[in-house]
Amino acid sequence: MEREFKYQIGDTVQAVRVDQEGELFLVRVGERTFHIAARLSAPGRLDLEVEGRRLRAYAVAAEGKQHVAVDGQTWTLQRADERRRRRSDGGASSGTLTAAMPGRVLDVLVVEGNAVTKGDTLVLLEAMKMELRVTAPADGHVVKVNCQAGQVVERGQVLVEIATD
Amino acid sequence: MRSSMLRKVLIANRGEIAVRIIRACQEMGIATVAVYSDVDATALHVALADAAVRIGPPAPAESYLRGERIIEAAREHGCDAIHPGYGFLSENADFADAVGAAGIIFVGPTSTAMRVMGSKTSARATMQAAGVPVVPGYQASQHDADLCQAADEIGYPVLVKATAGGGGKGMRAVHDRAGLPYALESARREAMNAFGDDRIYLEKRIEQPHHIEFQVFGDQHGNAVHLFERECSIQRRHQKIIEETPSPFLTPDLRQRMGEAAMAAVKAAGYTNAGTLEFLVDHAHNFYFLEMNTRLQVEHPITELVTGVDLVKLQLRVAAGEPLPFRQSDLSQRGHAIECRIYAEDPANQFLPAIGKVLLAVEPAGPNVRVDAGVTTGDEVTLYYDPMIAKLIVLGETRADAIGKMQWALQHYVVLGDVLTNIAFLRDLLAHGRFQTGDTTTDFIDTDLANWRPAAGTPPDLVLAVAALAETLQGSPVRAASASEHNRLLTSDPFSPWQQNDGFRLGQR
Repeated sequence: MEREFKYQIGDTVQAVRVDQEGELFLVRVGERTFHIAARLSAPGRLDLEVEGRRLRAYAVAAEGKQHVAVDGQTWTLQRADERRRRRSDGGASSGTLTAAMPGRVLDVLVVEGNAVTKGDTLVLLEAMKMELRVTAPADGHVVKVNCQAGQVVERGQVLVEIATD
Repeated sequence: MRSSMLRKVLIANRGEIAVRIIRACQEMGIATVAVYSDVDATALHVALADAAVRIGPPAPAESYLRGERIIEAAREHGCDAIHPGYGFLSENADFADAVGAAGIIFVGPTSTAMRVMGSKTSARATMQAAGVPVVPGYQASQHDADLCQAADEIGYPVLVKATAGGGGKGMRAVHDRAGLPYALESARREAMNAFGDDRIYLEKRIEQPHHIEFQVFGDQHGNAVHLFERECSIQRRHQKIIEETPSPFLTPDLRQRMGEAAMAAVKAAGYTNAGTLEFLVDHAHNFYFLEMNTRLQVEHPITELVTGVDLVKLQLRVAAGEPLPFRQSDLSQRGHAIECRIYAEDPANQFLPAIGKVLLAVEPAGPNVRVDAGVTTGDEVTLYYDPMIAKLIVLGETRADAIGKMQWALQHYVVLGDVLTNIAFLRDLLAHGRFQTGDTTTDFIDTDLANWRPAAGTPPDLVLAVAALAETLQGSPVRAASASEHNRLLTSDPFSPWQQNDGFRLGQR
């Protein structure tokens, strides 16, 4: 019986099909077929022989993700048929400045309507005993201030919205 | 069987150093008491200790920095001594006094020595009086006007540093007069936040220096030694990442002169137990005293590996009143040791901490490969503390041998979960030409690796194949058309093959 697994790689979904024939697994990834002898030698640990090479890999699944370590590199794969949590990018949308990591707002240095110049400090954050400055990426003005001094913020949380000139 | 006069020790710390101290105590048959904050209840150091005491909520100021609570815990458990580790209360002279006043041994120097050598300003003065060269600087006043004038006189670039500081916190580099006011304000704020003390001082910024430190040890009988140097020039944002010994930069003559300077400091301060003298060495081989750390250091393992001396056990012995079991002439360096600090940080996002749960950690093991881990499988790296996962240390026959062994160890260190690590960055750093030739100064990362990015993103086919195989072999939830369908399959028939997670397959031969 063939089993199929789907992983989200960027914008595409990659399907992987696994078939077992005795000791051997036939694994189809796109156009490619691997013949792999695989054994779970300990929880999370796979001993494999593939294309004449023996190797040991590690894999753990949690929360819709598969974490894998192969050949000294680790990867986190998003399983495509699990519900994905939406996360905002750090400042990717125009004029939205977000917290790059969880922390606490020390000081808000602007109010709505303020004109700002590229590089101006807008918000001071404290995290991991470091002080981080959130600065204006370009000249513009402050549209909205979404945080206040003393507030605890999460990674990705919107702090300030600015409109660039 | 107990090999010490100490019967029970409380470890006033957490993470890998608490684990380190607990292990040393266990070797000596000394009972151990751990302390923990709410988020550390299931941490490794708590699991290893004989007893554990909850001391407060996660924030250090409410837990690991609460000296009176810690002393109370030591009293309740009948502890002979408290080992403070590094950071937290380890260089807090008031805490050392309070421990002594409670009739408990503080494993470290006297509070007097701590006050003299722990403050950057009095340490510099003490060293100057002892004839040791110091980095040009200014510490006479906290007034901005005086500081601005002094900065002009020292000559830019200048560093603003926190008097109570360490680890690069409360430090700002200033390249001209215009940048000074912001630097002063910002450094003060960070210092107040990290150390509760916003005093600052100025220092000339020595260009492209080597950061070389000497391990010293004094006992309570007037004996003292140094255990040679550690080269700590690989730093980012003034935090050490890689340390090694012997230093490829030192000549035997320079080592001798710096060792003598280190011993002069120990003598001038009447220093006992473990300490470290930090020096900056410029390209012309001039060395300058920078500061003294009146505690055990993070990177102590490399000294242990080349000298064969267990520094933590020695701390416990000396604290119990035993004399040093060797003289300076008995000590030598053999082989080459390197330490890499494995941090939970995101190399693709300015190395900011990448906290989360470690689902699986597999530490490398082999001849002369040592892992001092505070975080392993099942542990959580949180926002509240330093995001260090482990120290990885190797001892090689030569420097090249040590580098090769460290590369092997990094390749075989697996950390799986939402945490990200700096392992890939460390491997590229070790492979860099300048590191290979030992040409490493404290600006190396900023100049040569400033634009480092992790290798490009899409997983190879083999990785996808392995992921799918892992799910096949370890069992995974049935992929239902919808959540409700999934639930129906799970609950309708307890004997259904879909309920089992043993990789059951229909039609298997």
